[in-house]
Amino acid sequence: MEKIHLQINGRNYHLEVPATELLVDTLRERLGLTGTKKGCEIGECGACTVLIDDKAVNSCLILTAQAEGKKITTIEGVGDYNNLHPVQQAFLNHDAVHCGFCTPGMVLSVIGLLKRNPRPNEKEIREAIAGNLCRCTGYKQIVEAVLDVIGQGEKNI
Amino acid sequence: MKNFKYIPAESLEKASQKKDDSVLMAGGTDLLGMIKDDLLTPETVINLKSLKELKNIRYNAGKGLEIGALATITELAENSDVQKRFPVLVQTCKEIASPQLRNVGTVGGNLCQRPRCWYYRGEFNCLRKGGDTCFAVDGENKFHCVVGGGPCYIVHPSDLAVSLLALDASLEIFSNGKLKTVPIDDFFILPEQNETKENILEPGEIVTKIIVPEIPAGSKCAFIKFKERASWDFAVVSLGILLNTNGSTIKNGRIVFGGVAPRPWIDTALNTKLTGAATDEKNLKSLADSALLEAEPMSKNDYKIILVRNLLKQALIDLSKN
Amino acid sequence: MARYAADYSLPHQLYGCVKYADYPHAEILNIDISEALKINGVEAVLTYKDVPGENRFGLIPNIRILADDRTRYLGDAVALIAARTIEIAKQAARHISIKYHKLPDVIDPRESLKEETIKIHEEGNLVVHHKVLKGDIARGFKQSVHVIEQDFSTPAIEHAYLEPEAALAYPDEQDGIAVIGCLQNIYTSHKVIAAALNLPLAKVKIIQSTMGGSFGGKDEASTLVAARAALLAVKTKRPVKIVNSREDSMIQSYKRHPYYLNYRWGCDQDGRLLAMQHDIIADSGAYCSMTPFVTWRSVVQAAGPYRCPNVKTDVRGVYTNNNYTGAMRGFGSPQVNVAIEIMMDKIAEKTNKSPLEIRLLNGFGDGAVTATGQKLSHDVSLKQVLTIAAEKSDFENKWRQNRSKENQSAPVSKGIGLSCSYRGVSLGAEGVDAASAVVHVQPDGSINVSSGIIDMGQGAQTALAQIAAEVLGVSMKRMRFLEPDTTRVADSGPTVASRGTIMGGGAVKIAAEKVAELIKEILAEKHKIRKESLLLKNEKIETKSGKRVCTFTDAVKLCYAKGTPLFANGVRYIAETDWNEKTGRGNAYFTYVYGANVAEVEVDRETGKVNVTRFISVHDVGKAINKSMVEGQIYGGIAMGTGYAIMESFIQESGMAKTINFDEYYIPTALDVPQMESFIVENPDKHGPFGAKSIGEPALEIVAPTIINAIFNATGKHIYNLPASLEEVLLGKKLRRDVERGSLSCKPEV
Repeated sequence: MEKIHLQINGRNYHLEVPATELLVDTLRERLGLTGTKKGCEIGECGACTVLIDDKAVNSCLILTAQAEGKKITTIEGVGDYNNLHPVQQAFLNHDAVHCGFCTPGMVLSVIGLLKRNPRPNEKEIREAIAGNLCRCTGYKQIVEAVLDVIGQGEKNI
Repeated sequence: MKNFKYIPAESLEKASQKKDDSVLMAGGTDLLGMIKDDLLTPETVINLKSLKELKNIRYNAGKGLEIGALATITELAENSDVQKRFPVLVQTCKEIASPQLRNVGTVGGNLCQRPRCWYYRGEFNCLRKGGDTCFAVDGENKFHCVVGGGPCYIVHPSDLAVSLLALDASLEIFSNGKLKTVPIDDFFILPEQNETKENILEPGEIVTKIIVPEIPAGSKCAFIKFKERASWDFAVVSLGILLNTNGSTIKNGRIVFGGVAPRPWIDTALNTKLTGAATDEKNLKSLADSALLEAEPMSKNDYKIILVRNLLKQALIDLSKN
Repeated sequence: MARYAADYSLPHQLYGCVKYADYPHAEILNIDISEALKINGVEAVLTYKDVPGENRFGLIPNIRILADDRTRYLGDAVALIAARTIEIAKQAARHISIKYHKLPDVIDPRESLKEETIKIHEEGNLVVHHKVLKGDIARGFKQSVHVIEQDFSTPAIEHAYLEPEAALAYPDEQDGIAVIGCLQNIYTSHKVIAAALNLPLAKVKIIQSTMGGSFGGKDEASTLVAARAALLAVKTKRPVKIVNSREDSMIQSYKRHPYYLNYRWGCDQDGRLLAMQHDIIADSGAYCSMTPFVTWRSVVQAAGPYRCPNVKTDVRGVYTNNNYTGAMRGFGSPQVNVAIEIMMDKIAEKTNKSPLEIRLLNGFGDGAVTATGQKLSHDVSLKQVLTIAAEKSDFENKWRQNRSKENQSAPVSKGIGLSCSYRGVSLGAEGVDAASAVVHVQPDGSINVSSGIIDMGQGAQTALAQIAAEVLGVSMKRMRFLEPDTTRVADSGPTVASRGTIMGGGAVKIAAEKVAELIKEILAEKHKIRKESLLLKNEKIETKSGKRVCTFTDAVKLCYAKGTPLFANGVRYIAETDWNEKTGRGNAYFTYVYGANVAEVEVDRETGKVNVTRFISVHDVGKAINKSMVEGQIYGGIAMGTGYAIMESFIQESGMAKTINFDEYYIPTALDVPQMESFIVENPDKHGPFGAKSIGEPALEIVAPTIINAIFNATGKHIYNLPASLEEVLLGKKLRRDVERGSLSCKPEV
């Protein structure tokens, strides 16, 4: 077992996990943060995307031990039903959420982008979410939602 | 996943003294996939990421670029010196995998990643896993090699290897307590030399740095990756080109192909024709058509040869323009 | 936060997995589970012998929950394991040893019906043979000036819902069992699971979790996962969770049917169709999921929305040892539409007409009679949608410009393509078309709506809630859609065939109208006015003359005070279809929808790369209940259809799937999809709520041929075998194994 310290969604966690445990499993099974989804487990679909030190990563391809000391943001730390993050609100406004399974990862990829580049153009948005598969929307309403968020000016992303 | 011990590396020395049943991890994006699929069953995983000194990217005018093997693909692509002086590397980085994987995957890991052959990755006891058959020979070989194969027919998956070879980079390797420098061309090997690995690294050897010489004044570079899907995809074929022309002729240059061979491939016959070749469109086309003459495609991958020649023709024409 | 099946957990739950077949086709002689049972942490190992009730289910009940006599594809489960952790369960699977007698594999469906081919099922290898016959086909060809014949093939397609199948089964009170799952058709799952467990339906409760996509794919495939979890839960008396990995999902689940089509059309010198003959083989794979219905839609629609006096269509579904195939968005139409719409462009080419002219010449108008002899009695808007699509895209001009030598010989050639279709709405004569719903206004005025129609991402919940809100004259803020469970809402039939809105919406409307009636009755009595004069709108009840009676909330309070709970059940049933299987004639569907698509592409002729740059979709949806959601369905359909056209193929080699995760099975990313525009046409239909029809499947079903036709416009070359992958476009062939190694001349062309 490894003793790990993580800061997840602003809270400190001191955990003991097996060396083999993947971050996605720590989040989902150990901490009940099931907003992070498993879609492929090989880093291809992006459903498990979380932010580590504000960068989007696939939590299915990183050991929890590798994240020692890091700041992790999952969808639970982004917003909730009554207090949505502007990106989430824009997704809803644009009907960019269909089945919803890709949404948490998609939202985190977008937030990761906006932290680096607050005013991306459409191409940059598409490049930033090219690591997140969506089978429902055709991506159009997602891209429009992000463009809308940018249009609203700088918010607390 | 089989159980293993996890140790952050304390030093290069300690990491290199690893036992045979230990593996070294950089970003881990490829390694963890291998462990998950039981292709590797290590007793210990040693995380090199604790060696902060291997993360630096440094540019020295006149000397060139030094990339720490543990720098991530994103860090390489976002480095301002790289953007200014080695745009071909930025171009290459953007073609690699997905944004999430680029945020974790490292430059050293990209060069040392294992092949994507679906027999190798699947439940087949193939040559590369110590078995006695290459299943691609009679199987689904659309994505396998057209040259340099035998007895195993993988293609090397690294994009950076192709550009770095075109740029004549060298690798610094920590070996037996010392550092040695090896031209990247000598780093990669063919299955006929050893069908169970893709490079010369012996157990305990660690790539620490990639050294990229200055791009010679007047030279132009390009990396072209052809893939079936716009993101994530490994190259069907790719090209790395360095070309120095003076108006109507090529002064010198270097062409490297990816996706066609078990290592980044230098077609020697083609490359020797470069110096002095005329840059009119007709000649460039015939130059391109002479690529991969020694290729022996498999039953389903002959299209790769046409693809390489056509992409090369267009690239040569584009690079020869002012 | 939405909760999907895999997000549920219970204390002391076990984890389940399957032991897969080792051969695609083999007799099972013996299954030895003794070693597996010895492993610490293994709680149960089951084989078919441990199934207390029915092990087989399906339309033709030959799908096995656990393989019994034989394995028939590599996704068959021979044994089930429940263990303390998933790792232990998988380890146990490796310790199950099975003795087989290997049988020859049937891989090519075109070989399946041959006399000498081994029979995969006792009843033979033919699943179904549907026919349509109209007029005299021989005479039709005799009269024809031009006759064009062409073979086509379409690949197996993975649904690729982002959420793999998952289920959590647990022993319920009073010896019952409950299963939480992502199930497209909870009513079928309910029956299958109860029968397998040998329990009365009342003791089995199926709870629908939020569904992470389905596209037709979470019917039998998800039922199997749920049934297996239930078997393990009953055996161990513990909660058992099965979560498929992506690989499990792709190996086990059914796909869209691969089709092999032979089309032969004859026309007069102007291009008027005189004869259409179609011979189609559909690969049903190892079992019969929806093959009889999927191929039935194909046989009905095989001639497209075109007038023709003489039609003969044969569609055969056959068994092979490939993955079984079933419902997928489009349901038998995407395959035939590829052939139909490419044929149409070939006829245009032959008769010197533009793709638009030829379609306007042959296309259905009001009152047209279909190939099955059905006279269309609704607004037949085919020419309307075609004209809009052509105008919005400047089709005719671009199409002509692209045909220049200059364009077609450029390194990158531009192309534009057109397609259109009609589509029977809902189940049609293939099944009993009924759906039910419940509307429940709570004492505080908040409203629950439930329907057996499942929301798998298409927005059914919102659309259905919107219909109830509209009828009750209240805002959406009051509405809460409850996921259905089998104890709460009566059988609604499957959420398939794009019937969610027209059927489920119809049921919700009836239920909401009943509630509105109750409210009106109570208010009429209190205020001594005629209930017919009351209106529910803008959160109020008012008279037709505009006099305010009271707020909706007050009305609700009054009803409850008077002892009238505001709860009603609605059932929508449509029976205006009939079908004669022998003659292949009849009124196949009660109504149809019409769509037209235009694609623009750039084809790199030196690499074979096809870039779909722009896509325009025009669809008559009857009435858009929620415009943005209709658009969402259209955009999603374009993306999925783009994959079908140029990149997707579920590859199997001798029955073994080679593309079992997203690194090998490609679906389009945000960088692969075209710029999209949608235009919604509304010709309300008498059958739908407020005139609404459907959009989910029409949005997808002609995307691929539209793109293929655009490639033809760019290159002058047709593609007949999907997908139009780079080697298909570059070399004009699929790379097949009959080519010897090193056969391509590596010498440059001289």
